[in-house]
This record gives sequence, structure tokens and C-alpha cells, in this order.
Amino acid sequence: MPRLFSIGAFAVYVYAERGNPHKGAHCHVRGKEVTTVVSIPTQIVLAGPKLPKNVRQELQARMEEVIQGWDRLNPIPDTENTNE
Amino acid sequence: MNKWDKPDYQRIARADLRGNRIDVHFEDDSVASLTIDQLAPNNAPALNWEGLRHTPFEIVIPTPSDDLEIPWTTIRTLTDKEFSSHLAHGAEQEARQIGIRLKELREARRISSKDLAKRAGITPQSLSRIENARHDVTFTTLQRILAAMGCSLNDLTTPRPLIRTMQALIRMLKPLGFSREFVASRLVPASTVDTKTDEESIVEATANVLGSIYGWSVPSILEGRTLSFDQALTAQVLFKGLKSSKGLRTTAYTLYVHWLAVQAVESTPETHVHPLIKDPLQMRDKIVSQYGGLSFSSLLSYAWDCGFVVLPLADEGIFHGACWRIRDRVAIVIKQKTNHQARWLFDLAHELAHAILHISYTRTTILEPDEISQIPEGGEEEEASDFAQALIFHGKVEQLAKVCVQKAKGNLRMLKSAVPHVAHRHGVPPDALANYMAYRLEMQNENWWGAANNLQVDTPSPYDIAKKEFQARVHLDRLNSEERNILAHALEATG
Repeated sequence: MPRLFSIGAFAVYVYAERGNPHKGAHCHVRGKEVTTVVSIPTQIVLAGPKLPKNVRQELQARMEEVIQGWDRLNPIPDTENTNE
Repeated sequence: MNKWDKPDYQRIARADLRGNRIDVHFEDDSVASLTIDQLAPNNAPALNWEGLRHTPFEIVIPTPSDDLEIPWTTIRTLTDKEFSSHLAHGAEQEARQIGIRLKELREARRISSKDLAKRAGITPQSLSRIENARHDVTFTTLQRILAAMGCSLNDLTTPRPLIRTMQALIRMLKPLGFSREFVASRLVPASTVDTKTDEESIVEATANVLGSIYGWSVPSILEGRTLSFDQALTAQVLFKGLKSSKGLRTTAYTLYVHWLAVQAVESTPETHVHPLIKDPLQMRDKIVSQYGGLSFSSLLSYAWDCGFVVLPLADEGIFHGACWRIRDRVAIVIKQKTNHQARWLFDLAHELAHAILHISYTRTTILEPDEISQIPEGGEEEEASDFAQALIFHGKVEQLAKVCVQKAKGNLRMLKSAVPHVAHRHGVPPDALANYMAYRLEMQNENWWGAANNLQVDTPSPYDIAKKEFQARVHLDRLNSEERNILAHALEATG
């Protein structure tokens, strides 16, 4: 299930972006009628209305979880050249 | 509001399987039709397409082990180029914000890029590419870099903004040369002005605009950190075109206009309908034969058809015109408060001369700090004005001036009827000739501007002509919604 957690009346989802050329990591914050899609981790709003402040703060506080959820569903090899 | 911000664009009403295609019906009555191959590449698990169902925000395909949920964003991305492009721009913006922020955090801690790269276990080249947003950074690497500076993910955003009101934002920007009027009329997003947006959101939206234009991270603005202009860019954009007396106010505004010019160039397809003509008389013949006459409107179309990008602005002060070489194109900025077509015609011809004669790979900037003069003395300014006069007056402006004086029998009162008569007879614009006569007389301490102004043509407004042409030539869909909105806002005339 792509649902990660709830923040009040909102639910946070990440999806496996199969078939979708990657447009950058993002999550869906689903309200009752409309979804706000925000970039991970800086929370640029990509679609939908701006989120209430408390939701943004809670999302930021749980950003590690969101990132883990994204990485689990969208694994990419670490491509930066390491010195190790 | 963009269409993707609305529920109808996002919400799925129905999803039908038709052979190897899926039709997804949205609540805005649009239908996205995709092949199952588009939605499930080779490595996808065995999918039971017959079991296709939907929720308001996703379609669901059962698999032997679990369900595969495909969100509305994926369906829209695959079928709506505008949305796909918007998301791609969003990803670029995210990478830019991360890069700028990492660099700010590193510099604030006085860590060299070499040191940080070593501590984070990546090469200095990789770090440089990440800081300059030329490389997608994985979260593992991002967290390694942050940890190597003693930072966390929270440092990428602003947990507790200090700048929460417009007053505080303007106070912070003032030492950098931003006037309240400039911020309010050009940098506060228009979408927030007419709506019931709360002040903190307006501040945040304005910080986003500032970040895009001046390359600052949004957190650094909202945290009230000391900001400065990119020195290399400032040196390139201002060159030595403007005196330092106007100081940072000039820098702030000129960097803004240059940013607009960059967006205009990036959103305009390259067209070279006409090869460049360096001789003003030949250029005039070409315009007259192909556009039916020489006017502000025809010269404007000709300039665009030669591949120049012409950005009109109605702001007052700072500078009066500009030419910048941006990538392999030249952007011309014409900036006038007057509505006289002759004035705009002369300024455009003058800037066009600079663009053709003076701008090069090594000379990338020309700014006009002063009102563009018909009769400047010396150097490039004289050369550009001579070119403009030759173009507008068919290379015989002095001869026409003499004929006007003879026709008026040396009487200033009769000059007003003599000028249109001579202009029509010689096929030159009467309003432009009237301006030239007024300039000439001013040099002899005679004020003939009242009569010259009465001969001016101001409808349709030259600004509207130039704005309409700009809007017809640029492909704004090449920009992201924020860039598009800033550009559209810049073209709105101020009260």
C-alpha cells in the first residue's frame, strides 16, 4: 500500500513510479476532495492547493519516513562517485 | 490557479479496459487513453488487467501478491505534455533549491567543497554538480552530505521562519536596493494579491519568486540571513553600462530584467526568417517591401523575424533600454513610459543597431542609463542613433530638416504644417520627423516640443503593440508556472 501515515484529515502517499519517467521524488498529501503533490524533501507544491501550516510542519518532521517510503518503492542505485 | 490544482483535473470518474488500452475518464470530462505497456514496463509483476478498478485518485490493478496502484499524476504525466513539463520544471526547481541550500550551509560553516566532499565520501566534482543543480542527488548521498556538515533534512527547509510579514521582508531587502514599490508591483505573485491569501503565505510565495530570480534559497530568505547578489552574474549583466550612483537599486532591478530576458529567450523558438542586414538603408528597403512600410509595428515584426527577442517594459527609471547576448540569441529590452509610437520606433531602431553592430560573443551587454538621444555625441551611442536615423529617415534626415525649414520659411509657427507635408512627400513618419526637428531646435535653445507632441501618434499604444507581439512569439508553455507568472506579471502596466 502506498499510504504512509495520516496527519489529521490528510493522508500521505508515495507511489512506485512505474512507467513514469521520473520527475523528481514527490509525495501525495490527500485531502477529502483534492490532493496536494509536494516535492521531497523541500516541499515545493507541484499540484493542488497549499497545505495548512501544521500539515507542512508534521510532514517535515516525518520526512525521513517519507524518504524511506519513496526509496523503498523507487530504488535507484547511488550514482554519485564515492571515494570509498 | 493551474488546472492541476483543481479537484476535477485530479479525480478519476471511470477507468475502462479496451483491448490493450485503458481509457481513464476524469471528472473534468477529459479522457486519458494509454496502452498497458505505458503503465507497466517489462519488469512489472504479472498484472491482472481484467481486475482493473479505480479510486478517485488512482487506478488499481491486482497482481498475484498485491495491488498495483497508479496515481492520477502518472496518468496525466503520460498524456498531458503541459503537466509533464510542469513536473519536470518542479524537479529542476527542487534540485536548484537543494544545491543552493547545501552551498549556503557549507559556506556558513566555512567548509571547503573539497573537505565536504571528502567527509561525505563523494568526489569534489559530484559535490560541485549537486550544488549547481546539474545532478540528481540520491537521498542517501544528500543525507551523507548533510550529516558531514552536522545538519539534518530540516536544515533544507525553514522550520521557524523569522520573516513572516511583508514589512519584515521589505525591511530585509531594502539594503539590497529593493524598493517597496518594486517588490509590491513585480515580485509579489499576482495570484496572491486578489485572493484571500494570508500574509505569511504571500511572504513565502514572494520568497519563492526572489529565490528563482536571484538564486537565493527560500529558507535563507525566510530566516532573514544576509543576502547578496551573485557577483559574477552582476558583472556580466551590468558590465559598465550603469553608473554606480544608483547603486544596488540598479543591480536589483537590472538582474530582474535580465532574468526576464533569459526566460523570454528560453521560451522563444529560434527563427531566422531574414539574414542580418548591417546597412540601415538596405534594411529599410527590405522592411518596406516585405511589411508594407516602416513603422514601429513593422520594425518590431522584422526584429523578431531576424531572431531577436524584444521584451517591452513599462517600468519607470533605472535604465531606458538594454541588449543582452543570452546563449546564442540577443534579447532587446525597450522601456518607455511615453505612448508615442515615434519614440518607441526610434528606441527600437537604436537598440537594434546595438544588437547588430556592437553585441558580440565577448561584448554581451549594452545598457542605456540615460534617455536614448536622437543626437548623442560620440562612440557607440552616436553610431546606434545614426543607424536609427538612417533607417527611419531613409538616410536623409539633414536634407529633410532643411526642406522643412525652407517650407516653413524659417517661421516656427508654420513648421507644424510643414513637417507632415515634407514627411508624407518623402515617405517618412511625420511624428518621428517632428521629434527630430524638436531635438534640433532644442539644441538652438528653441522649445518646439509642444508642437512636436501634437503631431505624435499614440494609438494603438506602442506598448500594447509590443506586448501583443511578444505574447504571440513566445511559447510560455516552455516555462514552469512560476516563471510564466513572473513574466506575465512583468508585462502588466503599473498604475
